[in-house]
Amino acid sequence: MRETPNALKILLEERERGLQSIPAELVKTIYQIEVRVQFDEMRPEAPQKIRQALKIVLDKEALEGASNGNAF
Amino acid sequence: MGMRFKELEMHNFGPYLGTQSLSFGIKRPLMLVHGPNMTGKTSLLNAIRWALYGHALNRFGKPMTLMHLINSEAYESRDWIMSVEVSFEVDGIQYNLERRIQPKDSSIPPRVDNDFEVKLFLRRDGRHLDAGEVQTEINRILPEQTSRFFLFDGELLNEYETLLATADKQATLIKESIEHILGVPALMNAIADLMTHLRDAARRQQNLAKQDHKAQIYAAEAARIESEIATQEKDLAELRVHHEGLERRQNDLDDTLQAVAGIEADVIRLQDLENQVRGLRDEQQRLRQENRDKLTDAWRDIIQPKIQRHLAILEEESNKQINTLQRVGQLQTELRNIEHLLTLGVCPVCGQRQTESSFPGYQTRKNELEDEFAGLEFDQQRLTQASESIRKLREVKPSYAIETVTNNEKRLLRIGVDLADLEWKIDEINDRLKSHDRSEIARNRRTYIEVTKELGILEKAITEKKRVIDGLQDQASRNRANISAVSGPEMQRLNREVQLCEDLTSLFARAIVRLRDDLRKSVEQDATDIFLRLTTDKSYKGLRINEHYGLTIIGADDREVEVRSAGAEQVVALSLIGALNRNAIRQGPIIMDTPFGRLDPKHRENILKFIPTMAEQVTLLVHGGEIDRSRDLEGIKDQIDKEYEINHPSSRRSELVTVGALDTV
Repeated sequence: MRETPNALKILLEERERGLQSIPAELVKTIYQIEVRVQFDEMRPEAPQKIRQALKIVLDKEALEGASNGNAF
Repeated sequence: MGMRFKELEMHNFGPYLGTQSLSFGIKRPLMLVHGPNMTGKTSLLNAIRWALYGHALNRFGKPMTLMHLINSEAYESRDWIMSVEVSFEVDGIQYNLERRIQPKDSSIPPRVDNDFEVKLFLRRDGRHLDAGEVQTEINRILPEQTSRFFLFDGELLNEYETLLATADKQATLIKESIEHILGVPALMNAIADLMTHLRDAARRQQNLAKQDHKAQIYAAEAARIESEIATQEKDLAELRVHHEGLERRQNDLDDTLQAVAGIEADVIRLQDLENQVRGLRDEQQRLRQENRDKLTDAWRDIIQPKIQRHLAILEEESNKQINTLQRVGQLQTELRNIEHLLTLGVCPVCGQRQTESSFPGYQTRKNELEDEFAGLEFDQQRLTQASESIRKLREVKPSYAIETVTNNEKRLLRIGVDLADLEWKIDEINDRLKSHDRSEIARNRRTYIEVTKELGILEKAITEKKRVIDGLQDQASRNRANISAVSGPEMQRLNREVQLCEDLTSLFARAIVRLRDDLRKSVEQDATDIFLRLTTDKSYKGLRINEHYGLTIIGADDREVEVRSAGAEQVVALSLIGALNRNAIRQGPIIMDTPFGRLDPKHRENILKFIPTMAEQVTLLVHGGEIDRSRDLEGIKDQIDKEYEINHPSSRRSELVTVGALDTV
């Protein structure tokens, strides 16, 4: 049976085309946050959760940089 | 996420007096409710729609008032409570939804919708949700925007399809609904949220850059661009608010004008009738004047028989005198010749000499002629008088006025009848129009046109404003690249944050374009698969989709089929619905009202076989003209879980009765 288009799959494929600097996990997380709230008229938690996800990625990269002697 | 309806209980809803309930099947996909037209099939659909979203729609797709929804017999017997309770299951979670209206204490008896208070309750696995959560939860389960593809009137199916083939506002709304089902808004919302975060990060980046001598100039530029963007966005927001306000105004006017559409038609008809009356009155006046003019000469026609009789007598007399005169002339000539012959013995005509023996014969002839001459009576005076009278009488020519007047009188009689008929019709329309302010209707029509024009101007202004903002954002992006040159760990972290937000925004934007493209292709392919199963015309090759998800039939020659029958429209529309359900990110039960109305038996058979595969739960509301239970359902009886019939004991009352599974009938 033919597969129906999958937004997350498309996002990850597009990431492979020159946007690998974005962590794949971050793409998945943001997509899942938005999918969970997409049918709510008010989605107050979405921007807040995205901010948290970005902070986690930046903190993680800062830690990895520090361990490589290349912290922000 | 899968949803299934379990029970529906209505109280005083539409034609359903008292409490009526319906149990949805759970073992097999199909449930049928049979009922003649005007007995309450659409009310079942409306009951679910009203419970979920708080409004029911009439056959024009417009919301119905509560006063129209509540059962009129119940209302008259002072039972003013109306409710609908729907229980359903979503991924194993049990929901119970109840919407109820009852009159406010201060408004008994209730006379308008505002006299009722509306209560809404939703239990999730037995726990009551807070009032504020209820509608959000409903929208999470079955968003109203997508409901048109789950709960729909089959008669209106092809209208969606027709709308999608165009590019107007309705088509855009339906396209949005389709994309809602297909999950596009998740990506669009992600972009909006990422842009908000990008602006925030850029502001922090800019504040930090102000502390760096080299980056100060870029920080100042960033502040300028940001301020400009803020101004433009404020303008855009104002334009949008104005646009929304105007759109609401347009919708209100549209509703108002729809409600008085009959009145407008009456006004036009009235103008037409009044013009006809004016035309007939003018003709009436003209004919009457013509009759008056004609009647001044009518004596000529009246005395015409007498004149003709008198003329005949005079002409006879005149002819007689003329004949006598001619005879006198002839006799005188002949007598002169005989006299000449008797005197000279020679014939005056031929010049031959006559013998004396012939003279006695000539004498006898002369005597006869003299006798005839003496008998002739010629009266010159009588001839002159007769000729003069004939001349005068011939001058009295007929006017033919009587014929014209008679024809005119016949026409005047007809006009009188027509005028009476028109005036009766005018009175009838005026009676209908009495309670309406016609000048207000005309004013509303003018305002509607003005509002529509203004909306067009605003839409252009909004597009232009967006273009300006996009340009400024490009400038901001280039400026951020300059700021990012500033060193330091805090700035580096901010630079990374900004970069991530920009890259993510770009990624989601690219994904939307591809997702839309892939979805259109997928919907087109699925719709084609379904269409080829359903259509009876084997020369069709498939369907082609446009950017609004409108579908066109492709014929054997790879060209679009321009003319489609109402049945074909319905098959195309069902193919679209089927394809959307296959591609939807959330599956739901389907309730179809009168879906076979325009279909011939073969299409009906094909679609009946297909419908159970459209969703896990499909409810069909059908009338006898669409489905014959014994003839049409045999082939799908193992797909049918339950069947109900609508009994209609009176014009204001309907009841639901179980008829049992087909194999037990």
